[in-house]
Amino acid sequence: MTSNSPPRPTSQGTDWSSSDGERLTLKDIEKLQILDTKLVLESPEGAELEIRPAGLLARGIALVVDEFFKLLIYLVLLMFSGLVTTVLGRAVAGIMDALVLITLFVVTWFYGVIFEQLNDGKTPGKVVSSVKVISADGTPVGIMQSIIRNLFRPVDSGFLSLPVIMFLGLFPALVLLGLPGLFFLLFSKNFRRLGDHLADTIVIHTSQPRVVPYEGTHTPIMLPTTLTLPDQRQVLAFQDRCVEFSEERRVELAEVLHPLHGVRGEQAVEVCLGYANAIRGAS
Amino acid sequence: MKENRFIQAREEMWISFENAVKEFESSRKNNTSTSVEKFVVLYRSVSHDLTVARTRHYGANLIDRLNTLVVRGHNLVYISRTGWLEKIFHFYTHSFPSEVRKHKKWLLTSLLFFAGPWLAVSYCISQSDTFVYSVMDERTVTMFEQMYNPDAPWQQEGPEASNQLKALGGYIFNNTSIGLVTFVSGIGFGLLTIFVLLFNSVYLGSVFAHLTVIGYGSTLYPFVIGHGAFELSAIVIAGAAGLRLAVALYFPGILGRQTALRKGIRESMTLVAGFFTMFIVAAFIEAFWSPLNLPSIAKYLVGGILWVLVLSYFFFAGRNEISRFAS
Repeated sequence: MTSNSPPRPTSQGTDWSSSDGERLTLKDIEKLQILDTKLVLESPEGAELEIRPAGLLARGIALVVDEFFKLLIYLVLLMFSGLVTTVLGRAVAGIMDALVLITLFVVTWFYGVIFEQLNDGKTPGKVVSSVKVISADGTPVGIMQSIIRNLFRPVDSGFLSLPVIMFLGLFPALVLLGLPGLFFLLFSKNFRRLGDHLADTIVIHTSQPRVVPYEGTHTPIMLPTTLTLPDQRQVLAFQDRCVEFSEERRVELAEVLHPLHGVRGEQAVEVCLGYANAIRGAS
Repeated sequence: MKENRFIQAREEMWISFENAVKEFESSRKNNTSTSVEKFVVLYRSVSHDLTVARTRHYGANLIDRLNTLVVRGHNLVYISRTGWLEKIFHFYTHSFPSEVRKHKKWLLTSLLFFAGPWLAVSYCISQSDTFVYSVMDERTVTMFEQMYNPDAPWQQEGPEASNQLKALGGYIFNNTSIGLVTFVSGIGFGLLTIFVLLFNSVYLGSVFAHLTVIGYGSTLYPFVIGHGAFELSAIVIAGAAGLRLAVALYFPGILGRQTALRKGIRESMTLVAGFFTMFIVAAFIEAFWSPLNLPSIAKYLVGGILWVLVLSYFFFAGRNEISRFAS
């Protein structure tokens, strides 16, 4: 692609978000980003991957569901082994005991690893709350990462679950008392658990936010200037989501572009939708 | 170049790349119509187009479309699906023993924490008959005495199959969990790791010394020598791995603490996988070989051979092989 066409006018100086004379500093932009938990990862080839880290509630639900699921596995197994021993007699009691203990061991330490590897980063609890684990660089979670992030799970409960695991042979339901885990989750960027930090993984939402695309028609209106790519996206997002906004909010947002279109009220919304259509059918 | 002409010129290639991506995403096998070499070439061109489109400020539609394509391609290119069987083999013949040798310093430290109190407690118990009761309570001592009493009736009969299986489950669960906890607790600046090592050392040391003093060694040692080769080395390795983590926290060097810790964990995972295997092997030996009612001399012979094998494995295995997975 070696085209000699003249370079397009850049949007420097006409950037509408800074039209009142002040340029945004990097710090301001970082502050603005706090509005949203969205995170943009960049691949070595320059592609951008947008992910949305899952917060306390989604992860908490996943944890509780997983703990109950583990308990269920264990109970079903105990019942099964009791049944088999009763039917087939004492001869198989040893095999059943070994089966129960080994399953308990595998479930305690490798429940997360097995499901994360076989089900694309999703344990049953994570399926329920629509989250999944990925590597922090955006690729699917690796087996070593799965092992590390699950191995350090006992630390989250301050090893409270361990006496339970080791000496009572019960299930680590006490993980729910996981205060150190909670601390890490709340005080780290992107809600990462200690295990996530160590394995360099991140738990993200799998479901996309609900967007009702705008279906009305508007005559495209050419923009008086060229917007930067993020700004173009803003205008498109405005069009997509304007059905969700209240009347007043819609007007308020559309009037942000006042320096460009110079109109107020409903008319500003119309013009912005026209801009969006122009961008969509952009040449 | 106008955006329209750019799209016209490249569209065909993007579509063929998209088809290839779909194919690779769905089948995940080797029977795709696009070869891997072709795929990579297409991937590179699409990435290039994305950069070009960005630099020339083409529309958001086009850029988003290309971006999605490149992200999908990225996830296919960077996923790792290499021959795992070969890797496992390489792990046991090369990585694990050489990694153990590399951690000599921490192994010795861990051994010190494990063997030191053992010897000290043994000495104390050999000097005083009542010292054992200041370490563990009377009931526990009586239990161990009954278990290893040479005149007890169960020393004469062989083990029962169903009990052996149950014991296997118990050994796997308890011992391996202890090993994993020893490693994981290294994250707490190593204090808990050291505690686990000291606790096990004092406990085992007093049981051994007490049973030896009262003359039950003839049943104890033939029983433990076989699986001890694996179990005791595994505990020391687990301790070394835990200490390795703690050291990353104390002395991160030129790295940040978090980076140092991540590096430490990645490096010690080899040890973890190794001692994990050793605990499992030990559990099988302890459940099926150790309780067999054989003459002591056979037990000592096999046990001795196992010790020699384990130690020479760590000293010599994987020294000459040139790593094919060298990083």
